[in-house]
Amino acid sequence: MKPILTTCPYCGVGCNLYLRVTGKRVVGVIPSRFHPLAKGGLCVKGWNVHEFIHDPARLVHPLIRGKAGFSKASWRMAIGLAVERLRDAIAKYGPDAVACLSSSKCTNEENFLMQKFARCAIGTNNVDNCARLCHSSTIVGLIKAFGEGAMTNSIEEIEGARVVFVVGSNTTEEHPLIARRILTAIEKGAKLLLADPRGIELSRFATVHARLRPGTDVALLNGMMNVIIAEGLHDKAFVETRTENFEALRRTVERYPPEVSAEITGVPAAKIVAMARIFASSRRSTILYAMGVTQHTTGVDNVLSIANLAMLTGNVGRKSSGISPLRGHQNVQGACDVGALPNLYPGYQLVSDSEAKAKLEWVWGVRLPEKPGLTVTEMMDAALEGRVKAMYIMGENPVLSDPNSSRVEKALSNLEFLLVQDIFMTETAKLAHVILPAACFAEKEGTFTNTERRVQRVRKAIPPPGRAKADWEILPLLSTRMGYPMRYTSPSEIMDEVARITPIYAGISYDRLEGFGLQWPCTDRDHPGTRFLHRRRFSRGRGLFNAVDYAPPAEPASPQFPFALITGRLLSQFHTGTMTRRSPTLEREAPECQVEMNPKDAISLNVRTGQFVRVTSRRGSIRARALVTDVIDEKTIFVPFHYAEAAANILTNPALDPASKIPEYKVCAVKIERCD
Amino acid sequence: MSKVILPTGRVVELLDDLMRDFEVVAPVELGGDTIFTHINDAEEMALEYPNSNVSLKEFLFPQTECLFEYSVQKGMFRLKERRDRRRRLIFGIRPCDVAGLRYLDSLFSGDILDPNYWSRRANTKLVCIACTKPCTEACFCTSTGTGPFPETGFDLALTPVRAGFLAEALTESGREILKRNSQLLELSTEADEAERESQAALALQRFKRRVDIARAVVGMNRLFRDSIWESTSKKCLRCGGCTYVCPTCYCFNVFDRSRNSKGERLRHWDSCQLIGFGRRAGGLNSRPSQIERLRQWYYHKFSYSLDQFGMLGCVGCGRCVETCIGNIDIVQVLNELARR
Repeated sequence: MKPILTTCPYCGVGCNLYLRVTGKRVVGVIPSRFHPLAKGGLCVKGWNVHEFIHDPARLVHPLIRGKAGFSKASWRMAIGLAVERLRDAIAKYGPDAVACLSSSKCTNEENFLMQKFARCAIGTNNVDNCARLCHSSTIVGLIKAFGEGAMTNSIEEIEGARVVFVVGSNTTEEHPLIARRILTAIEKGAKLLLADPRGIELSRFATVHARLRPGTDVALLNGMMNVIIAEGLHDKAFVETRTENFEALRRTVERYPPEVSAEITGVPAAKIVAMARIFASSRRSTILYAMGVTQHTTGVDNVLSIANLAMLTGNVGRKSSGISPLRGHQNVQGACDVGALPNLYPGYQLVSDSEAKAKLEWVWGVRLPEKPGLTVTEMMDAALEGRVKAMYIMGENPVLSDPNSSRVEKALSNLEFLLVQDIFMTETAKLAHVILPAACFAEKEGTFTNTERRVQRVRKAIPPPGRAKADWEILPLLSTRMGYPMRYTSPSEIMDEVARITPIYAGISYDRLEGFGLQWPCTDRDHPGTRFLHRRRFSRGRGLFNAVDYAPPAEPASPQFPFALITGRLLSQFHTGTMTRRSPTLEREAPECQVEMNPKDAISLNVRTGQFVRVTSRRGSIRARALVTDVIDEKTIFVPFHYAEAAANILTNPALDPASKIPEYKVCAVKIERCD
Repeated sequence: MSKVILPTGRVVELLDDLMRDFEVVAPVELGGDTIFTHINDAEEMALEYPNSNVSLKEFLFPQTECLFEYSVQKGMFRLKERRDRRRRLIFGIRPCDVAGLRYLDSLFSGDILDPNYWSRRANTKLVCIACTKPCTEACFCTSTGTGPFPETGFDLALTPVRAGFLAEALTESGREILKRNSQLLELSTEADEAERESQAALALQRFKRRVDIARAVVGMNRLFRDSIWESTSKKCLRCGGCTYVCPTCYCFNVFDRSRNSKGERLRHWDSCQLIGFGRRAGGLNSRPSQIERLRQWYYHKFSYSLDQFGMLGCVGCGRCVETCIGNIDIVQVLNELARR
């Protein structure tokens, strides 16, 4: 059998690779030389992507919870039971007592069907996906500033930048194939500016590295803009012709001279000045950011400040400039694009827009619910309070991935009915009443949309194991039995429907995706796709400056909890480890949770590398080994969130950004003790 | 047997014949990439192709393979060995990859003949096509002495000349293939032979990337603690790609996959560039930083291999350069070693 070209299911870069198949097994991986992102390479996760596929722990038949645990069931029985219980919940409590969690791991087509299922078959807008937890602040912030919530430029363009400013992104570990472009830019003479509390690998290449205190990004960015305006380095023509509300920004950043900014951030004033001058020195300055920016109660403010800096220096709407929010999952962009969001229909059309609603009602032939739905975090609150009674979770593991895990577990246990659809028995699936076995990326057709808006094909290399089915096959089974018939013979047909109702996807169809995909907006059959946004005008017309003030994190360190906890990802693991921890090569790279702490703190706690420590927050406590390293500053610790046995999210604070509802994963107060 | 000419137009017929006896593996163009794969239709083969994205070791030593299946019945282990004995012919293998297989042959012939490797290897025939120009922008086989024309290790070699391919059999199997297909062949002339020689000379000139391997190897003897390892490894993003694509990298690990009383033991490629590779019980790591890991790879290829097998562990295919996401170029590193 010929190797099958498909898209990697890990991070948002979306490298293409070939799966080498022998019989019904994927036995190896070959990178694609001509793919614009892979360019002949892959990261360690991509190289070993086949290892989890054939794990014997894959779910291979539907399971129903009984008194003595789970027992095997036929599809007919499992679907029948699920439909009965969902209908009961709707009949007893109304459709808004049901919530659906869609998945950034699933294809566009599957996310589209999930939101359609929620809206048409259940009759609720309670549908969300884990984008809520990573880049909802990006969507809110960038739509406000620019009118479009996505990465403005393309990954390739990073190579051509003269200044690369990386904020809150450990790019070499989280998006290695983007880090490669940064390294190439540096080799061509670009300067690297870095804002990160940790001494991450990229710091070896940084011209200036601002090791700011966690959660003080707005103060740093305002400080930089203060210098830029004071020294007249801003792009006056751009500000004049392309933007609005500059005066408000000017007045606000006036209050952040470098000394004030230094006081808040802990970054020396001279560094702030240097960063400002370097950034403003070029019209090919590009900003890359990730969770370090978004996962704060000030997530939207951070994003707005970044947008301010880009507009102030005329670095939007040009090649090799712009803003790149680096998406975590391979399809977190797509899950949002196709409307797996409680307030937005496919293509970011507002649920509150009666025209959009009327159009969809006509296409889908149902009355759509009026009220915007609940976000992931609100769903958990509602479940805990008994307002949500039934949930359908597809391909997500909120028990490990949402903040304050024990609360999430309690919330899900409180449900009258929980339906989980996944490839493995996750921590979340263990709480389900019915579990449906799904196909993994190698076992189905579909599309993923990467961080640069590139819609790419996912191709089936092997059949699913046992009786498992692709999510796009399961959703119509449920929906049809619920009384809202869905009939699709292939994902390509689903994409055609997406294109009909989603203006930014209007020109996309499978026959056009051969090769290496299309970047949206792609508005008609002849549209070539869009490499970078906001070229002559912003999507909203003029770019909007938003004056924002610094606000401290929700939970500052206190005498009782004196350390700031940062959570994040490691190179060889991915998220809750559902896939990577079942890959022998990847798991061996980082087999256990390590708590990074500064040598000075280690001395005062009398702890050495390898010793167990207990980390406790107001919400819970975990035990893990210490890793003493000067990668991290004093009074700060770092815990990766991949490990169920020492789940960082037991500790994290579910305090939310008011506009985007993103939780503050990136900083909370903890204490540390040595375990003896 | 004297050399013969296979006219270009008859390659397909030759392949058709070979497919009767062998599972034929040949280069195919997929989405712009060159990938060797099992073909059922001779027309699928790409006749002009840059070298494949990954080396051909995967056909003898796959990235993941099952060594045996096991089950426990009444307290007894039952093993079922898994061997791949398919008769295979790799058509169009490049000289660098032939050299890579010679290296693996030595490696898997240590105290024990590796049964899984040799069950495949003994049943695999190699038809090598010589390179008349660099296959990719990265390759440098003229410096490692492994190309662009093959000298040994193949069954049949084909050299492109004006009249087609000049065919040369080295083994009994190679001669047998030619004999069986004599109706497709023409006798070569002295002009063809002369052309081969001039092609070879021309090909040598076309390779611009060169390394003074001898000087680099000598240099390495005193540069173990040189700053070059720090400055080079700084760019390494720990993907392991250089080892995965390399025709001679052979490190593997084994793991079991079991459920209830049944399971299988799998062997899969490992990489010395990964942190876990050198980690011992208790967490001690013999190669704690990327500096040691990267240096090990170079010393193994250019120093230890010479003692181990009397060959270089590099065949000059340049794939590690193409796949490196940290932009590390082995040619630049070696030239720097030669210079210092």
